[in-house]
Amino acid sequence: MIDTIVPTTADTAEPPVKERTPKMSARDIHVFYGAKEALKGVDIDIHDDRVTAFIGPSGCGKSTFLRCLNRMNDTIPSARVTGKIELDGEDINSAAMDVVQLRARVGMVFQKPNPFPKSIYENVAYGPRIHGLAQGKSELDAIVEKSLKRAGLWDEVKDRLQESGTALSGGQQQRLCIARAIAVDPEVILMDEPCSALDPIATAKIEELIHELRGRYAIAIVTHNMQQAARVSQRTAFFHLGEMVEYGKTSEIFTNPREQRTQDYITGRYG
Amino acid sequence: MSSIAQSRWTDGSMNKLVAKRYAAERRFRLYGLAAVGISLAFLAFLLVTMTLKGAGGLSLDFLTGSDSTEAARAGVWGALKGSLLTILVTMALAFPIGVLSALYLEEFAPRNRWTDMIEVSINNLAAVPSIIFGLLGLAVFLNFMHLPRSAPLVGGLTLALMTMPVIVIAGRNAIKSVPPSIRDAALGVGASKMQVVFHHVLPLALPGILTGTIIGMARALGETAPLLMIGMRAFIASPPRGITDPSSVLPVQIFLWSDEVDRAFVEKTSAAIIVLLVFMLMMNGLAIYLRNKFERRW
Amino acid sequence: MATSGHTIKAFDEDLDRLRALISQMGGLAEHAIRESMRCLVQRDLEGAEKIVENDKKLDALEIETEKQVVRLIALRAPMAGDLRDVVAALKISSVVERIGDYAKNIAKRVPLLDKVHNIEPVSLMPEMARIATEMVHDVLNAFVERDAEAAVRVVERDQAVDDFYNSIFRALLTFMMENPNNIGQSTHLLFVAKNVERVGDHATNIAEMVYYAATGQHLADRPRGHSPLDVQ
Repeated sequence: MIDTIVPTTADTAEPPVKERTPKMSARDIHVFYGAKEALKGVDIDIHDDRVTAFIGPSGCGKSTFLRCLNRMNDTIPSARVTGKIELDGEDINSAAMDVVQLRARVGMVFQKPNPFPKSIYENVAYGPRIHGLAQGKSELDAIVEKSLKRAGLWDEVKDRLQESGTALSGGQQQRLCIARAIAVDPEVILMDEPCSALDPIATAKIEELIHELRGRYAIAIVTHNMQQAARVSQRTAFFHLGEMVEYGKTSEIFTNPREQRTQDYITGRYG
Repeated sequence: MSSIAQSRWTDGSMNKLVAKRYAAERRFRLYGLAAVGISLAFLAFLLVTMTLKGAGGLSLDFLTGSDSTEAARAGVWGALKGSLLTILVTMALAFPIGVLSALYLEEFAPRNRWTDMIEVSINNLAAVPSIIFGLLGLAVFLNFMHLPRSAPLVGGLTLALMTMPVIVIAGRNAIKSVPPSIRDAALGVGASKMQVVFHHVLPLALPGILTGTIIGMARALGETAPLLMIGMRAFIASPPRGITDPSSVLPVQIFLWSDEVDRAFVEKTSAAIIVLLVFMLMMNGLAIYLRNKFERRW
Repeated sequence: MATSGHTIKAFDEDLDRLRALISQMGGLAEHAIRESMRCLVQRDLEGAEKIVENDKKLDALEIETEKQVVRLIALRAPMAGDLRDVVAALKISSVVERIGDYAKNIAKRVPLLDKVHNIEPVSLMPEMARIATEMVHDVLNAFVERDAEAAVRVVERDQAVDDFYNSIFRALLTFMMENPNNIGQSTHLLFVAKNVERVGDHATNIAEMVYYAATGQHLADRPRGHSPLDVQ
């Protein structure tokens, strides 16, 4: 169930799968915060229909890399990104790419749930409204309902859409943030440690949600919980000190990794 | 590693130390209460004295009549209206300019030496003695621009110059305190910078901005020196009809009356002080009400 | 191959204890095979009884190993190399227990073989048993050391055990044809020889488990050198 690719006995040291073009691809990404180099040449592909997990110890650059994918690093004055990132073949850092549209196409869910201090309805409707995705209130209502349903939150909030989004529990708030990201009809969803502030039951619900969303969006998730990466993803990339050490099928990374550093981190021999 | 020895937390010397700490806390509470009490005592003294001296002078005639050379007929309406008009002009100018400046400086301006200097300059401006602003008003608005002397327009302009730095500083702090997570969330959905600022940052910063506005307004209401310099010290017999008519303001009126030789004006002065205080309380109350209304929990 | 220890030291201790259990089982099984062969040749009835008794210890150790493995998986969530080691330990323990059963089986036949010194092919069996026992010893060492190459070398020695078995088989058949009144005894010896040959096979199985645990690849899939292995 986890891996849809038939496992081969051939050489398992394969680079990204070549059967179809990746949704997003990154080549030779370097990120500098002032003089400090946080990412030292990362190459990776994100495919749709698949969840890609980034794991690694604190400060290894996985969140930094994730934020490159929707140009959130642009908001940090001292950050400088070099290399090429493409979404459907278009360079996202070129002048031709509108960063506002990019961020709608590549949505993001953050570590600490951060709903707007508005009503639940407004939280989800804000994105479609500013991008003009709905003509008229009934269309907007439909988008809100669809997004909340896809995020698995509709049944719990359908009777109280005008209540403040911040009055929900942590797990519900995070699902609200996911609904908000879905509402603008993205192609890729980036998740930066989405469950680290949640209890195990809320975490399990979000993981199940990720599994349901997988067919519709390309998902990249940063997590420091290895078991979560093992449960949720089909491809895993291990970052260490700004480099991407190993990338491969999740089942192989966790049963027979190629690199010693990966083995050490996964088995708990790191540090 | 530790044996089951006598814990250092249960023997006598530690108990004495803890008891000393509690004693110090009790002493501090006492001192704090005394400090608050002394301040309140002064305020109470002022209020009681004014009320006793001036309550007799409060009457409808007093409130609706304008100034007069005769103590019995002198009323406070002219000055009251003048204060209202002046404050209106002040707020109409200082609030938008202050808020927009704060937004620009915090959200849009690049961080370099120039903007640092601007920040320092604004902080200094807020501390400049108000009489300097009076001189500024005299030189620029009256002598250079030849605006009508003693009008609420000029008074408002001068006070706006004085109030704007306060609003900018409070605004910047309020904007700084909007958590970056809200900004990230809005950016993540694809909002442009302008949308982030006006749909999210400004509404959340509004309570803080309004607080700064209240402080600025309270200061402006009570200002006497700069308005004296621009000439709002003359004897005005009828209330102003517009912002370009010559007028007086409450604090100046109080000052003028307190200077009068006629002892009958003493009661008037005290009554006017009461009116000023009530006026200030009402304006503050309005501003606090507005602030609470916009307060949003995040 | 040796890596640094886990950040959580108790995890290292758990793995060491597991390896110690396997070593202990191996020692008991090797001793049982050697002893059963000695009792067979020397007709030591008391020794044979002891071997049958001691097999219970081996069974208990297998149960203990299974408990340890389940506990380790539940509490430590082993990954990658650690996970392969733990799964291998579980499988190896049951194979070693079976080896012990073969020794017990041989020991049970000792009382039934009174004229065994007359039978010629018996002299080959101690040597065959020695090779098989050494294979078990070496392959379990390879497990504890996580040495894949040592495991491969053990596999190559199984050929010698099979050759021994084949000659004993032919010799016993010939003997039976020439001495029909000894068919009963000879048949028992045939079973004993088969048991020892199975011990060699089991050592080969363990070697495959050790190889997978150490490298993550299966022995059958590994790129071949020059000596083909006759996998039966």
